[in-house]
Amino acid sequence: MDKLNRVLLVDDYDADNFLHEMLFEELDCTHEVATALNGQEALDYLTSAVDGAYPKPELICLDINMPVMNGWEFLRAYEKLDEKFRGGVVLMMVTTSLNPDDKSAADGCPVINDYISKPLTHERLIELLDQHFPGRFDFG
Amino acid sequence: MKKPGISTRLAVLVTAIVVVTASILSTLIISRLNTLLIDAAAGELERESQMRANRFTSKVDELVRDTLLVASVPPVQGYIRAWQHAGVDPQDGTSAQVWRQRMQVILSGVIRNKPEYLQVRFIGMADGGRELVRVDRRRLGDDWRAVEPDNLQKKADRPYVQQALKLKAGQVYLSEITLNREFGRIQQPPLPMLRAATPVRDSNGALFGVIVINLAVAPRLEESGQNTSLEHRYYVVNQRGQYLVHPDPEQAFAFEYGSARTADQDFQAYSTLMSDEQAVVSETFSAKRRVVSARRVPIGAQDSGRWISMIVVDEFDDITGVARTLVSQVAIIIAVLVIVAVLIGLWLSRAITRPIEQLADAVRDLQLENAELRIPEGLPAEAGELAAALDTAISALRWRTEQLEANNRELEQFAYIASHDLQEPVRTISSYTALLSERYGDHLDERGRKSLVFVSNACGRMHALIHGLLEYSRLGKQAKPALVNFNQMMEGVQADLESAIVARQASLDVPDLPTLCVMEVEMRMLFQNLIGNAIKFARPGVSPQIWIEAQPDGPIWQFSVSDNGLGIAPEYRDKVFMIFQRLQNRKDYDGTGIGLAHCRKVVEMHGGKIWIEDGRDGGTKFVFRIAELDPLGYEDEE
Repeated sequence: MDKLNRVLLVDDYDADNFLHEMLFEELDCTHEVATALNGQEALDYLTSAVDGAYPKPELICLDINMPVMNGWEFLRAYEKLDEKFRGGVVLMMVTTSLNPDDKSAADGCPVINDYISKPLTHERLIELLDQHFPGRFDFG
Repeated sequence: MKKPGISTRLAVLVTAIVVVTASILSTLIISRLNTLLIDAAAGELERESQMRANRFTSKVDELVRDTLLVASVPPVQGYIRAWQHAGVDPQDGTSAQVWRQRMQVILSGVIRNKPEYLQVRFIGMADGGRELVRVDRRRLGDDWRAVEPDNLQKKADRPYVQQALKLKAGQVYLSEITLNREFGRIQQPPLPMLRAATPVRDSNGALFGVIVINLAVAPRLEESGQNTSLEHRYYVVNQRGQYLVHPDPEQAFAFEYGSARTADQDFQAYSTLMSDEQAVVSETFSAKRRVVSARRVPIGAQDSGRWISMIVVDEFDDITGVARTLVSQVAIIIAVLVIVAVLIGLWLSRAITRPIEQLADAVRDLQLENAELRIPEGLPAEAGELAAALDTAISALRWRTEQLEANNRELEQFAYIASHDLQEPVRTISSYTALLSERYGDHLDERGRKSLVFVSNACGRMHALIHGLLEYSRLGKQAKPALVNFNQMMEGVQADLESAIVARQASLDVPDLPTLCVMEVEMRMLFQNLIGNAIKFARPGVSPQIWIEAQPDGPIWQFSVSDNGLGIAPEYRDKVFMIFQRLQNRKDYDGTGIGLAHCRKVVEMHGGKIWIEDGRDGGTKFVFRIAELDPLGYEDEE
């Protein structure tokens, strides 16, 4: 199994982060789970070198409604980021009602690879990993 | 029933005024004209009857003078003297014969010079009133002749002779006007005649004889003295009312042939006409009206009791012929005036109504979102006020509408945000409850696990409620009305409800449905909700049967969805449309109770109403009316 180097969760809601963190750990599919509470924190994280290397998470899960800098604003800044800061797959987390306004906006943005409904479930996470990182995992 | 427009009323009014005014005026004028014409005619008639009377009188006077003249010529006395003296005049020895001859010469002269005299005679009393000298002519226009002594007749019995003998010298007897007779028979052709006779006396005053002159009066009676432009009817009657002259020739002197007809039978005002020397009356006689002028001419002495009356008649119709011509001319003028008036009226009303119609168009074209009302030019004062008032009202409406729209947006936003933000904590509770249940359920006893189940269920319901609320608030926001074929839509609904239909063995009776411009998604949801409900709330053990009906009513369409299901009690038929209201236990029939509130909102978005009536076999019948939407009236919501 080829674990992801790291996963970045961008969400201001600690309850969601706690749950998602737990899911990733249970699947044991990543070496590290990092969290940022808003878009700005996420940018800071991405552009801060640790031990001389930028984090460049292979998976970013992005919430929309956040203070300081929300999901859309983050994406606009993320697009302008140099390649060396950017991560891998970007998943947008939308609420269960899948607001048509958000959906159409998501379809228009090239950076977003997929969108997922909150809350993430065990089964859904497996689906996503198989879909976006094919062959890397074998969850049986 | 539409009230007649301004154009019609104005045109009718103007026409009526013109017609009434013209009619009144022309009636007044024409009646006045008729009166004037009749008065003028009366004057004319008077003059004519006067004229005729004068001509007759002058002739009669001439006759009288001639008679007296003849009576006074010397041969008369000469003859008398000679006759009295054995045939020889003692004065100068002239014989009676010669005196007679001289007399004849004189009489011949008279008759020669007077073509209207038929006879001039010298009659002596002796020998049975034998004519002594006679000159005559048989008819008017004939040559005169002197009658031979052998043919002289005896005339002593003649009334004119006898009457004349009663007179004093200088008096002349005038007879009645009668037809001349020969040997007892009326001479043909008829010859009206008047005799004048005067007595002749000798120097001692003893009666000797008479001088008689016969006058043919026809010319003097009949010829008219003046030219008149109107046709008058002319009569002459004697003092007994007998016709001497009549427009119908057979009536003239009819009394000589035995007719008893008199003028009082023909003239309504006969007594009036004959009472005075002259009179003019207007007669209304047997529906024919005429003016009659009569002038009385005495014949002979005033107390002779003999007279004739010249009667001149003019029919009103003839008199007023001018007026009638005028009437037809006036009628043409009135007709022309009416047409002109109508045209003017129409033009006038057009001038008034056109700006009003423009104003109406401007209001019709008005979209509340658009710029101001285009007030047309040239509005009359009252319409201008109307336009100004409309403008103010529309501005107020627009302001209000903007306010309401802002309010609505705010509410929608509020609903959206509220439900959005409500979802998150609910979701968290749900997730963690699931987590607890899965990971730590074993650590709990039965009650603990059951508690978690209740929490989880409650979360589920809350989630569904919020979802429904969100949907409700978002109804119609994105919809742009489009032409929807309801038949196709129904097929889609049936497809969506397929599993439920099959499961309950439901049957659907759908007629041919129209194609209308509506909000597609919402309309579909409406039908799906109603039909879905009908299936869901069927009687246990009874296959649900559903009937759809569609009926146009002008621009509105009325639909109904009837079922044979459980039915809804009348007291709840308003309540069910309120959001979140449920009539059944939540355990037995799932559903959040939002559906009918959705349905009502969709119906109201189409300008309609929805209500409940009795269905079949105690079921329910949902009836709703909708109007097509204007696809241009909606902007895209972002």
